[in-house]
Amino acid sequence: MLQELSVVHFRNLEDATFSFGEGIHLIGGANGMGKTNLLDAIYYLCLTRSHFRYGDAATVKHGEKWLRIAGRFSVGQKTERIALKLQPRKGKTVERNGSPYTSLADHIGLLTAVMISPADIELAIGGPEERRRFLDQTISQYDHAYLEALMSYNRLLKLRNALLKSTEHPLELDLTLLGTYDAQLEQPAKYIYEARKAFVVDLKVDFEVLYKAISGDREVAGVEYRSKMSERPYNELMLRYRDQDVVLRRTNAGPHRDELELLIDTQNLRRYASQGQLKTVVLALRLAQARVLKAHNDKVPILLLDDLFDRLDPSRVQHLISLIADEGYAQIFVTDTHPQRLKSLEVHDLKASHYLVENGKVQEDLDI
Amino acid sequence: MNFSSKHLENAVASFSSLPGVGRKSALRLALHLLQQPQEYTQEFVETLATMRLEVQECDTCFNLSDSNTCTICANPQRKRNLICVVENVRQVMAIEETGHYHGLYHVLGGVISPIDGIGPQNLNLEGLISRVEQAQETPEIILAISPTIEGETTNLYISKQLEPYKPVISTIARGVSFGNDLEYADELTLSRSISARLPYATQHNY
Ligand SMILES: [Zn+2]
Repeated sequence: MLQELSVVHFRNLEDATFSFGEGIHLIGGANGMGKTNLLDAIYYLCLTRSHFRYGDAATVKHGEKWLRIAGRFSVGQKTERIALKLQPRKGKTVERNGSPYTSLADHIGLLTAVMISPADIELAIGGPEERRRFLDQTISQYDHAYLEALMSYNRLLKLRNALLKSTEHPLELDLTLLGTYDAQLEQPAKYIYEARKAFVVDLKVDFEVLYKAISGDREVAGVEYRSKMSERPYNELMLRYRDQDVVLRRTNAGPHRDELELLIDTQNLRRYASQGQLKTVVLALRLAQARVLKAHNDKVPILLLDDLFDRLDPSRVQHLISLIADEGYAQIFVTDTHPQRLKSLEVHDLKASHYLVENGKVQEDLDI
Repeated sequence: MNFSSKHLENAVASFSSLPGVGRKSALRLALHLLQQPQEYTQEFVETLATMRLEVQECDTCFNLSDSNTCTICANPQRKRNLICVVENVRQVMAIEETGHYHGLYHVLGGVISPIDGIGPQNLNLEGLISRVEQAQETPEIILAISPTIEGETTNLYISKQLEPYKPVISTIARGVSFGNDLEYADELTLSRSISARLPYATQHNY
């Protein structure tokens, strides 16, 4: 649980320190005032980077050269003080209780957070790389060897593709060297495939249950992991695609081409789903992600719901809120532009506190 | 910097073109030379010019040498049936520093990295293959290349190329931590990792 958060030079937020308790934190304010940035600061501290894909440099307040986000968390019985400092030209450091990590990857998994924002709709409608990113980000949070396998795999793939592009004439290609890369890729490729397969088995159960709960049994959603790796052993796969690789001058088979297919009533949802269905898929995926992380890390993630009512009809929102109330999240942060809609979220057992964000200034809102 | 002498300015520019030498250090070095007797600079310059002119690569192992054959290759005390494959000359010097290795070397001149435009044809690989091919007794090969991804590619590639000659191939023990360059390893770690070398498994079906 996040007990205290302080931000200096983070996006448009005014430098300040906030205290948070248990329960649901309802954050109002017009668009562009900084509500999302408050949620992102929390996410940033837990996962060492922004939920959004603008580069690190863009997270520093305009006209400043560095940023600092610090937080005090209670993890089980322990207190963890985490401080993140970013100087875009020099790099990023994260300190845990005063001592800096040698590698930022070591911080991943200590604090878990799940954020759901309108931009996440890309998970449902974007290309397969969006969903591979989802797989990678989730599995990396509980499996360090996965992150290492992924880094080796990506590096080797780049080298292999550079080799394929190094000559115009297929006959000049050094096939011994190509085979050398295949031999090196085998181990990380298998690790990534097995880890993704096992993860999707867990994810599938939670995703389907959560989708049903939010949609109110209106339709059935599904998720399938598709990988050419399941067809045949890796060496056979690579040899089978070798001619194609040589002609097209890139690598055509392997985990970098995997897909996490999302379905509604057994149809691929990119073709015909409604906005409400797409958003429900995203919510169910993220909440399922939270459940899997909880099962692996034995830590309840902080739930960050940005612009909650985006694309959702009121009945789905009510289903979602009762669902979240039952999931046992210790801390939930919700943003919305309408104070009345935020107020409507108070009905459940969660202790509620209200905030208002105006021009980057966050204040507790006691009028509501 | 304002110079009252164009010659001084040129000398400073030359010094600062060297890696790791800034303008201030360059000026200090140039002024130092001006304070020494003329013969000092004369000798200094001649040493450098001679080095550039005379130093060449050994025809056999590509180590730096003053003649066609380097002092290591020419030394009859060295074991001819043991070849340690390294990336560059600095690694030869680091291993020689330990005093525990008595075989020969082969300097590749880099590692395979198509991203940087370095393919097998850009390395001294053919020389290694012909050394193995022409040897009376197939030599043992020690692969002492940095344990990076590119280093591993190079190891696998070399062992595949040498397969027809069935040499005994080993790699240096990984006392040298992953990602660290061989030349930065301390002497003790280095000599230990060479004496505790591991057989290199080359079997793969690609
Ligand atoms: Zn030599």
